[in-house]
Amino acid sequence: MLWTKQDDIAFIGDNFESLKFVDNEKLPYFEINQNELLPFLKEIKENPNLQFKMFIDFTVADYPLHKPRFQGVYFLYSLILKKRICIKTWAENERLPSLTGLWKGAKWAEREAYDMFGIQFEGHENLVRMFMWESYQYYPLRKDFPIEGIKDTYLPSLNEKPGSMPSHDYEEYHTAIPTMEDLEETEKKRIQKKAQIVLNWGPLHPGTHGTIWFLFDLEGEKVQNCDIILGQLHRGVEKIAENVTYTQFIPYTDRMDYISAICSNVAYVNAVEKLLNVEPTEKAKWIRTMLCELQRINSHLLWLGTYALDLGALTIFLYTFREREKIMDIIEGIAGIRLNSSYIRIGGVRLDLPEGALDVINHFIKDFPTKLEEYETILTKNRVWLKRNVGVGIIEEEDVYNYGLTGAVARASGVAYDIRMIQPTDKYDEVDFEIPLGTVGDSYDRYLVRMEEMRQSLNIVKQCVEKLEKLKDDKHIATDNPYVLPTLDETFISIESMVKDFNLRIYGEQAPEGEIYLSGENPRGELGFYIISKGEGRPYRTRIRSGAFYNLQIFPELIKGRTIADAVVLLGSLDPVVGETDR
Amino acid sequence: MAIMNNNGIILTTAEEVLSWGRRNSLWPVSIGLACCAIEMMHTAASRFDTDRLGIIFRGSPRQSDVLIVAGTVVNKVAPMLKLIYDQMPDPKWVISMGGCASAGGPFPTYSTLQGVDRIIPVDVYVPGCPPTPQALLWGILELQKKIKAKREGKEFKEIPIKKAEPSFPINK
Repeated sequence: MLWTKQDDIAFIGDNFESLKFVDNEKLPYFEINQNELLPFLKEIKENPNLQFKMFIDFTVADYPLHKPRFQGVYFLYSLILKKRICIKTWAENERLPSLTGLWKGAKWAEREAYDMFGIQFEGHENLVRMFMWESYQYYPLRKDFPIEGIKDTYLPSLNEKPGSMPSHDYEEYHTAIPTMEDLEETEKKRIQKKAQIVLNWGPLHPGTHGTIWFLFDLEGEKVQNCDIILGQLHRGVEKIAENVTYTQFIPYTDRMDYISAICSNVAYVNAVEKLLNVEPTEKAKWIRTMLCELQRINSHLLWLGTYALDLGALTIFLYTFREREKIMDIIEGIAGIRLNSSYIRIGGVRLDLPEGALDVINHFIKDFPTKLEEYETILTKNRVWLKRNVGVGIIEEEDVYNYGLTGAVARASGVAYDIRMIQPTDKYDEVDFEIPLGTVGDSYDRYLVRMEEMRQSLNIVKQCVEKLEKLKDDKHIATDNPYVLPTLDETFISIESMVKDFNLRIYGEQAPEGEIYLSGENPRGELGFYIISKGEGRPYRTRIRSGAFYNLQIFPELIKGRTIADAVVLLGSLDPVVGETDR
Repeated sequence: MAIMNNNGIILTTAEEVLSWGRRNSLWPVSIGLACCAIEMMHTAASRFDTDRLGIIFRGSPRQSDVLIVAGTVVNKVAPMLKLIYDQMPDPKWVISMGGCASAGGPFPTYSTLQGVDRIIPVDVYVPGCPPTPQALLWGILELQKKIKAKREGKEFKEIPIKKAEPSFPINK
């Protein structure tokens, strides 16, 4: 994707004195003073020649030695120019204006910035902690906060016996754990009881797809108001990213969105490769594309199974898990691990395709369409299915831009926003596929779009297999590049490779100074990685733009005025994964 | 320790019957926390099918006797997990599934609980990140052995920990 440059917005540039353009090669950005930020954003959003209507991301970076200390970074997307824009502004006195008046999607991103950095937002409707609880005193993503936290609570293990050797390396002191009163206070700050009863749904409930905590203000059966408490799976992935090397962070990316691990790997590795100017080999690109699409089918199958299970169709759950086992066997055969495979490496993939892998995939391609038809026969025209899904949670096109919705949720509302098309990475520009679009934007459309996506993914896999059969003898990883880890064989044979391996593993990839924002099309939406490098072996800051995080944000809006039973349908059709929303 | 006599009458103790029943009808609470929950679902679904071991996932802690802690326990969810454990009727057991639940796993951070055994006692630790369904089934079978051993009055034998000894270089 192209980035907006000076010429594109030259005709409004004179109105803003402090507007400054920095032409970096990888990420050109605009810098503007804080007091002119809101008028500038309003102008580029509403100007008919620009139309930067789609909210992509907002984040903050911490520079302790700079004054002012925090810098806000905004990413927007223009529908006309088909370009992104990156805008930066320094937060004077640790305050920033709130964007919630312009884009509703900024609400949670600003809460997150407040939670992690302690920045106040002027004009935010309800600025509370996003991931941590209310009485938590620290701001974890600040540079002066240690990754392991402040260990001030005596919390010994109940299983370790005194005198015996502990089974793992552990300390008796631990970071503070909230009490039930703390959590109650967190809940009360979110939602004020106006109707009859505040109903808690979650955080540990089989229907919430993980650990999301919903609060419904109910009038009878109708939901009057709703808010969501996240952070029940906040593991501090962004903080970890600052403390490990680029290669070491790859396993964390698949533990974020654990249902589509390889897609997350590929999105991250692509961003790092662009930062390091590494070009993966041809074969690796095809393998990545193929595995991404297999993983997409895998992910959509889990969605279908659990979605149907939530609506009472247990059969589908058992059927889709039968198919999932097949895909996971394929992935296990290729990568060695079933679920969180960490198969992708900088410059290629970890191992070459084993013998017979393509035959197994070919067999799966032949077998799967009949299975897909089976699911559709059971569901698509099913009366119960139609009654539960049609007309539930209609998302307008305007809302897609407003909330920054991506993935199948956006496409079901008729917005053709697919990263595979507009910014093709790997081999997506060479394969032939279609983007299914919905018309109404309700749950049923989202169901249809995802079902069609599985067919398209299968089509892509087929093309990749055909291509890979011709590339049998190629190299799977570009080890000639100084940033790429050598393979195990090379390490044992040559001393140069061994030294290189040692250096890369101990000191990390010494990335050139600069910034990068690159995203990939995950089954859950756009997964973007914004990496700031200061020329060290570790990134200075890694921001993860999660598709599920933004998609979930529209849930309170959609459930208002509907019955409590629709909550299950809506949540299932938005398909969030908590590992990615909370990071 | 059941004895069958010639007339087809089985003689046993009440304890024996209870223990047999308990270990063959372990009902876990269906709580998924993170990645391990997906593998837990796979264990329960078509291929591995825990129903044949008498394991049926229940929606309520009041009806369950096993808590499978599947995934990362973060500080914020820890009090609620303890609440669920407290709501379960006795006797109850806990299986800690995966590296995160056992010891914090790959997340030694400010927000992660470094081992679920800091808030609730754990009976079986299943290693892996995430453990495969086979590994979880091993954990469940191990728990059944533990329940059986307890009925017979002996503690389930753990593998003795070998203390590290100083090693000396080999002289050739």
